[in-house]
Amino acid sequence: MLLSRHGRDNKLHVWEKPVPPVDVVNSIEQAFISPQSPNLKFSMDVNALNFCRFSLFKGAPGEYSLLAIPNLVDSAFVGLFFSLPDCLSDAGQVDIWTLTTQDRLHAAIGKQHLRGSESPVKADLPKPGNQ
Amino acid sequence: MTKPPPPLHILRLNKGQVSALSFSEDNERLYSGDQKGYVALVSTRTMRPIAFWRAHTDALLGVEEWDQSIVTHIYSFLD
Repeated sequence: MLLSRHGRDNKLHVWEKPVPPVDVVNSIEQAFISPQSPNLKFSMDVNALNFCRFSLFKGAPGEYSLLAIPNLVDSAFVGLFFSLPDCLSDAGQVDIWTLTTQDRLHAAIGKQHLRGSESPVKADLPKPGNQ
Repeated sequence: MTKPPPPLHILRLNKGQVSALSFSEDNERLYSGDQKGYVALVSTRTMRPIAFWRAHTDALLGVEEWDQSIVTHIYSFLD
């Protein structure tokens, strides 16, 4: 019952930045073109059951941009979010992704505080430029 | 306490309470996201909308320009 996610998208979306309309137009009709809706480039699943905003490190052109978001827990951990003390102790877990290629570099940073000496999962950084 | 300064502009595009705001790095554009999932993109020169769309069905937690893209992120109410 509590886990019903009906109508929720639980996504982080990345959109194409729209080009601003020209200021000088040839006809009055053109002046009333309604603002455009951007095209969706790609989406990522996120854990939306908290108020922790993404943090974005914008890499230089040709370099990686890094995205930090709350850890996307598997369903076995979802129950923890419904009791406050557990929720607080869970709040430190962060995943780090490359936004350019959507590869997860680090998973559940902070989880070692919950489960002893376990260190965060670390993935090898693929070489940039394959995109 | 001094009086608050009067607003120079009031942007009324969003359909719900505004829950996320950010400027582009060159300050040319202002992004505002609301609790109904709408995002407005306004030119800070003309104060006119460049884009307005429903990005999500949940409340916006963050919206940020990333090079030629826009990143939007939500949170869900527990109900």
